[in-house]
Amino acid sequence: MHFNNKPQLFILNELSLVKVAKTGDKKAQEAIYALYADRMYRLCYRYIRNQEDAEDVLILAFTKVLEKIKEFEWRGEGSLEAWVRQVVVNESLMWLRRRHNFHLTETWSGQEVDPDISVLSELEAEDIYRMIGELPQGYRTVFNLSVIEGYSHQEIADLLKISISTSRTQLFKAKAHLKIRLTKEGFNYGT
Amino acid sequence: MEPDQLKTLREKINTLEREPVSWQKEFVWKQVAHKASHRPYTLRWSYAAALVLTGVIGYFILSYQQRVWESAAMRIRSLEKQIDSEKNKIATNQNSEEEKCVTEKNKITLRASSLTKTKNSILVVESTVFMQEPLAINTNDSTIISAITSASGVSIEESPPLKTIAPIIGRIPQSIADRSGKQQTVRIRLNKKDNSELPSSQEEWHVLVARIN
Repeated sequence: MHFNNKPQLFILNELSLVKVAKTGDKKAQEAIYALYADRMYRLCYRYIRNQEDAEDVLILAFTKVLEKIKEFEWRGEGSLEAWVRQVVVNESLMWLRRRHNFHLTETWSGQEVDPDISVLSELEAEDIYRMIGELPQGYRTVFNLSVIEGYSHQEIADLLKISISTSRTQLFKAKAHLKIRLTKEGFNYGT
Repeated sequence: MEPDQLKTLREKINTLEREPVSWQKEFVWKQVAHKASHRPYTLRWSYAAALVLTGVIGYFILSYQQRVWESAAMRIRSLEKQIDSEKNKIATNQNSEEEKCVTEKNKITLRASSLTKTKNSILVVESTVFMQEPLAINTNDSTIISAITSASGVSIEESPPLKTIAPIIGRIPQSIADRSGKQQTVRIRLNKKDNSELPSSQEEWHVLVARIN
């Protein structure tokens, strides 16, 4: 199988692909994998930061996607990708939880000024990706979930089985860490 | 971070993640396809194994239960037999006791009857009728007997050997007593030893010599 050549089923829209995949059609399942595998690998790698581990997590995640596709309800264009993304993120977090203790009892006073990392958005995507990847495990996970994925602190707390306060603290420290990195690399303007 | 800056940051990351990257995409797919195709197969085997296991466990449970039931039934049967035998024993004992009682009762009755009722048939052999003057006999008996027979011309017949000859004191009705000389069977009322029922002096009575058969 060559994933560089788009399978014939790619000409179908997302809804048709979902309908065919729900019947257990192997080609439709393969088409879903070919469609989302690359971006899901990068997403997974952003959390896991190890190629082999990310591939292992992807195997579990896509296996789950193909198993649960019958339960998936299509809610408009892009909903399939969002669902696959959610499955991959959940599998990544599960993998991380087995290897990292997120249950840190850090309290968020709420009085510290949030570090300004607005300059981050002006950087090249590769630099942003690299700088996020250099964050410590706990900070990186919360930053990915909060800033890139857009989860609320409540959702992050539920996903990581931590308190909201811990989630806030981890995000604050991640931003502070990024601020230091940006300053070190010459992007030291802003507050 | 401003919302538009945040949006820019997310778009940049999403765009970057859509670009192809070198990784073991085909290997991962093979693994996914293998798992996806084999899991139901494995599941099927798991279901079959679970079914077989359930059947085996059920069989063992049922057989065990059956053995328990059988042993219980055997125990019940043996208990019933035991009860029957006990009943029989009790019945036999009752019968033997009853028999014993009956026997004892009979014995007692017999003893009582032997003690109270003594039926004696008395054969009246002879009434004492003297044809001549009484003789005083005080010497040799044989001489006397021959003398008596020769003098009166009466032949003495010897009575058959008697088991017991004993004098009996009793009464017989007058009507029967009048028929003297005739051999007949009469019933007499024996007096008791203490002679409490001796006939009154007015009553006429006879002395009999009798034997008890």
